[in-house]
Amino acid sequence: MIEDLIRNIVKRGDVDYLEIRVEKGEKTGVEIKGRSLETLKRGRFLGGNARVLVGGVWGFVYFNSLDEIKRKVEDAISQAKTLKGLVKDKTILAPVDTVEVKFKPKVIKHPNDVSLEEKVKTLMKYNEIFFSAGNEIVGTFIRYNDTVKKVYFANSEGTYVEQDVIDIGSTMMVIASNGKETQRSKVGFGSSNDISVMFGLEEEVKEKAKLAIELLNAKEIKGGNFPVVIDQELGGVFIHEAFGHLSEGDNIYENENLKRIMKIGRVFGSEGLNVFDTGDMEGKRGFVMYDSEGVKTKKVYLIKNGVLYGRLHSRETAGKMNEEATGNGRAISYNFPPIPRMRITCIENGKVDFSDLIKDVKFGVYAKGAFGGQTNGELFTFVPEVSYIIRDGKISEMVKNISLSGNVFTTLKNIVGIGNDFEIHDSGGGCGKGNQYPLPVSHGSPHILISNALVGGKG
Amino acid sequence: MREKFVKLVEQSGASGELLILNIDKLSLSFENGKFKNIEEGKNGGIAVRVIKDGKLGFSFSTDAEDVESVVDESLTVSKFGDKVDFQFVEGGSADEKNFYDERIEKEEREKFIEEGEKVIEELKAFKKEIEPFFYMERDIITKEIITTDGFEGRIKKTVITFALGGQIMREGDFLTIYDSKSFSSMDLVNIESSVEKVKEQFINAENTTTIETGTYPVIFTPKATSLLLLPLSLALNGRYVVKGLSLLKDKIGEKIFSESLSIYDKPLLVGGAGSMEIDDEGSITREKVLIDKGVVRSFLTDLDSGKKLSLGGGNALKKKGLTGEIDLETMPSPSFTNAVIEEGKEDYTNLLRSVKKGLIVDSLMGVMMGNVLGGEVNGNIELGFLVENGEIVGRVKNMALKLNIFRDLTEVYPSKEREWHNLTLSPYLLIPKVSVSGK
Repeated sequence: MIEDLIRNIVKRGDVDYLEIRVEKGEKTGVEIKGRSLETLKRGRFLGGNARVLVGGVWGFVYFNSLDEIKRKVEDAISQAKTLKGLVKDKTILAPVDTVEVKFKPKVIKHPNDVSLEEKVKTLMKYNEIFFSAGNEIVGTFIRYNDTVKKVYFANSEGTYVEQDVIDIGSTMMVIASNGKETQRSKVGFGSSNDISVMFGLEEEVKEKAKLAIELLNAKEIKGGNFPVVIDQELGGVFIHEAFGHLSEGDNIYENENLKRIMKIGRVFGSEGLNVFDTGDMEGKRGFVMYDSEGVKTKKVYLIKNGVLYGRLHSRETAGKMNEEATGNGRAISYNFPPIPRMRITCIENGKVDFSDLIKDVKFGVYAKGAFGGQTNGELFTFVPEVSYIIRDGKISEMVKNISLSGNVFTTLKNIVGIGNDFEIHDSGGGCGKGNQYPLPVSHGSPHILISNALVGGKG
Repeated sequence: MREKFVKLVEQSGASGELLILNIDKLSLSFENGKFKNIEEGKNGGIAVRVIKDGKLGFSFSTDAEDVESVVDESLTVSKFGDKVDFQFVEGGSADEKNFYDERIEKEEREKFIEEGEKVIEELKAFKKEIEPFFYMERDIITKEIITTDGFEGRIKKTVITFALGGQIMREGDFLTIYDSKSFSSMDLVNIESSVEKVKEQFINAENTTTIETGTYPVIFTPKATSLLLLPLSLALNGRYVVKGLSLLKDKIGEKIFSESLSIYDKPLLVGGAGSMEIDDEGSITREKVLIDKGVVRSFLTDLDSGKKLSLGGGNALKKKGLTGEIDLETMPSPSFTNAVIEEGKEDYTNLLRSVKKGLIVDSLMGVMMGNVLGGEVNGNIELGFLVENGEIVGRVKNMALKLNIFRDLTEVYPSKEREWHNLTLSPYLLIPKVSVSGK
């Protein structure tokens, strides 16, 4: 019914372009804080938006009630007409193939096949394991979410895409205290096609609780610039934060200075450095077969052999820059228009064994796991879960309370070793840009050696 | 709908709370000096909480007509829910719109665009290299809460938000400076003063300089103090207190912070974007003294934690993440409505003059990723300035800052002047000893 409705509405000849996206689905959420459940919820949503181009100018209107669609399309058109005089640079959409497809991912185990009761029990069991690690464990914070939705998309070019989308994500944090300070550690899991990832984590949960306790007794180090080896998770966060955002077309296309800086062909790193973004890895949270503009996913190399090679585009940014649309036009929900966003962003596997990466480091830091990262384009910062001193090529004592930060451009050049142990590990949360948070994304990397990074520690 | 809801819930032997939400939003943005787009729409739905056999269930739907299935779903969820011993708000009614400003509702697209063009022109004229941006949003929010215990409340409010600033991107040197504000009344909107502030910071940022790793006095701007409030808002959160996660959990009556530090939650502040007469559980809101001259006096509470701590509710918000915006899908939990830090005795310029060598910090990156629960404010200085002998000498970059609110806020000097930044009204705060790492 939704299919017929939106297919019919987009067939109008009096506008340059018209698309309608409708999303219908269910969300389940569990939150455990301390010994008890904080949130348990299940709810439904249905809503859509109309986006229209008239004379090269956008109109965008969203709504909850499908009865209103026709009127909302008129609103979007009138909005675009009002704005016509204002917009100097007309929007041109990059041409893409029209597609007609009903896409269903290869589901291994559907989140609806596990009852709410079992989800709660499983998470509560992990919670108990956290607490049983010792009296030092003072708190836990477990957050689990799954969303199951159908996305209907039709545009005036004749594209119709209907997709089943599953997103599962969880982060389970454990907090230890000795009365004077607190330390934390976490376990995460995520998937776009398999709820089984939430089971069988008992050992990892136990070990992470122990780690949080151990961290209480770790030393702090004085801040400064050191060689740093980061693990797969941090490597993924690093490339997402440090380079992924910078590669988003909307950050570049109208900014003349950034265009000069992000020039295709420019050398950003060593010969061995390859960075890509793709939507095509089934099961990963960043799996996107067709983006929110109905564009089929493409693997994009952002950096190839150390050289800037491509970027992440919506049809609009690709059109303006005269480049190809890449399937990165994503919207977090029907309340927002699509903008260039990442999917699965990775540093490609290298050749170096882990032991060879650290063997020449006289004094440095080995940092593992990430409590997230942030960037402002040029500067990035992230907080590892745990770090160790590397002394004379060997991993030695654990250290705590450090942050890693630096300048994106120098740090990319300072990548002097790329491991051969590539991994993607999904967890909860997601990527934020403007008001659109949390968008499911994935990132991955092998171990990486950075010759010089700013380590924030004791003053 | 009220009768239907009450009937459905009572038939099942539960008690319940129904929230009906409508948000009408219009936003507009200019990026890189150019008009970008308008987004508008209406959003809302219903959210239901039930307590059945002492257990809490929650469900929501964007379809406001769907009361029956949402009640059903919430009852199903309650079977696995947490044992609670609070009751939904009993009796009484409210129908208020003290924080509704008709002028905000009437703000037309054209007016928004005019404002935007003016700001963009002004920033471009100020400095050619700047790629200016402007964002403006207006929300009309109606919230209705009905409980089976006989409460009926309705409030209507408006929020206007704007953010403006610019970027300069030179090879190896990106600079972003912005100001953002959010109010419930047009009377507090002063776009021009934000433009002036941004210009002044661009001037101060013209020279880039550095400071050696060490411990220095740091002045947090009213924008940056909201970062200091992050760990504090968790430590003062009634739920964290009840669950033993807060480091302030047994500290009522104890002096933890500097005598110059007093912090309030003020839900009835004229013009505050977070102002509201009833919270998202229907509790009547009132001003709360949380920190009084350094002494912990109270906590932010919802009905649940408020009952356990004998403090009542009044701070329960359905907030998604850090934005102040009400979110249908989020369960209510304790939060600041408007966070207010008391002003001090010294002029800002006197505070500045007292700094021999130190920093002014306006924004930090990465604080949220740090050990916020442990009181850490740990981040990369995104926008900061070096002060020498009471004068701003330039911008510092590639430096990290680190402090712990429980350890380092024992000595604090607030300025006489205060400014709003989104949901916080704060003075400048001088903290004499902060660890800074850099060159």
